[in-house]
Amino acid sequence: MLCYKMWRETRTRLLISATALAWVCLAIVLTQKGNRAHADPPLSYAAYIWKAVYKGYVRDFFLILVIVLGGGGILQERAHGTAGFTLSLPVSRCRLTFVRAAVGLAEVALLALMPAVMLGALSPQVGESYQLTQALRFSVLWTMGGAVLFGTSVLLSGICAEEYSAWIVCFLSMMFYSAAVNITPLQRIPWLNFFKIMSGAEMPYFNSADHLLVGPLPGLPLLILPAIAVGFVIIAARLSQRRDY
Amino acid sequence: MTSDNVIETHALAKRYGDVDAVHALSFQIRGPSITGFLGRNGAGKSSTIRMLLGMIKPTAGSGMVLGHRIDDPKQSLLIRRRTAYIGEEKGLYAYMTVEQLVRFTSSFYPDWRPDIEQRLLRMYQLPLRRKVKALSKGMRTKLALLLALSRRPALLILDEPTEGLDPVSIEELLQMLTGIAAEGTTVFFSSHQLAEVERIADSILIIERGRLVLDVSLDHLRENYRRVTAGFPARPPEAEFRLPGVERVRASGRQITVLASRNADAIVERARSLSAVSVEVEPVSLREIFLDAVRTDAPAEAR
Repeated sequence: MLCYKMWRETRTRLLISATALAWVCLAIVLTQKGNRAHADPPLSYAAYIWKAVYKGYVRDFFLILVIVLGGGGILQERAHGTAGFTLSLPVSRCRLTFVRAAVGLAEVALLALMPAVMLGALSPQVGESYQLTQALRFSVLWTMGGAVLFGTSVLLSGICAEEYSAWIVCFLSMMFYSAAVNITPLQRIPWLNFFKIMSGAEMPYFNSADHLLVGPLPGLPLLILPAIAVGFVIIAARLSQRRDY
Repeated sequence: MTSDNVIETHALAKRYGDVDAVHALSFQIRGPSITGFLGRNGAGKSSTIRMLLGMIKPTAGSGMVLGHRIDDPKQSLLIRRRTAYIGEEKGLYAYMTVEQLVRFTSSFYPDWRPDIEQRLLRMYQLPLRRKVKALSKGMRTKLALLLALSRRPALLILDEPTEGLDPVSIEELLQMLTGIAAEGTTVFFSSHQLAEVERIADSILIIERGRLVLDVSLDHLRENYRRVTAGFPARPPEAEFRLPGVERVRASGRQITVLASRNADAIVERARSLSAVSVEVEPVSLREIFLDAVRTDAPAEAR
């Protein structure tokens, strides 16, 4: 039943996020003809989708939505006056955190599926096609990358009392991380950049000529990214145990 | 610590920065009983309750509830399994309907009693399909009570339970608390409504600035606490009334008023030996005792 509570608390956010993501995908597909023609050189449909969706602002938008999904928790419940009720249940704080994280990660995966669903459904409507397997592979990469940011958001929502503060600090952390891996000498190691892992840019499993994922997805990074997310969630759980509510 | 105490604290303390919210608080509550936990705003009542429920950790001291340590997370789970808590805000999940919240809460308690749930649903006339956010404060209190009582807790802790309720709801609540105490549940509740406390409580604890200033049964209070007012031909010497059991002496002109927790006969005797022209002995209300206990112009040790 804890899953049910977490789902009820986040389902509106998920629904709004999924709808927003769907609308953005819809807009990108519907405007593809003009946008591709104005590009220099003109882009193939796969290249256009990759640049706009999987490497472009749709991915960044997805990550912002993931941050929003990671908000909540006991600290925020205090503001709503329900923390006393939740904490009086015979449930450990660790379990509360872990269940919230599990439900949230499932929602991140659902959100990551949205572009695949939309591209699969909409591309034929504009006379194009985008391979479903290709889109689903990107969904896997997005889920793993999104998990890291989701874990960060869960951790920060256990530190910052205000929900908006947690979101803002998480967003700033993402910007700082992005700057660190794109500007500093760290840029020479693309595996440190989970944005690149998500998009495939500069990665051996991505063919930059036809803008498609090729070969097997990278096993180790796909294990490390969720492991980092789980690490953040464990820290959040430990913090919640120590904290006064 | 003895096992037959439902709640027992020893030198329990909670400090927030430089502020002692609770200081060296020691008391025992045996069950089943009803205990009123009194104090002004900010006296440390809610901090104490939250320590008992494991929501905040004590800075010092120890506490046991139903034989389990309050500062051990695993034992705190055992406490919460047998303890029901209704906070001042009656904060329930606004997005759930009454029915959903009942189902949700019942899933955590294997000993949930559907018969009690159904009886209380009928008694309180709670609309099952209505969302919690659409309920009045009175209805929310009733729902919180239903969730608390349907599992027959060994201990029911309430923080300002009558806050915001209309007189009818208050009356129903007080009757309910008396009823469940008679069935074996220990009730521990904080309140500012002294008349209500006086009506249903077996004992009271008064806390002021985090310190326990009074721990007494209401029977003892009714039997022994007295106000002795004596009139004298001339201004009487206050010091003559510093006798055992005297809590406060106040002189006004040729009249002296003594608040005694015991030993009223000796005080009357002393007044007469000092040639009092009139002596009156009256029972004292809880309100008067409370106001005396939380007077800010006297240090706790002097009371």
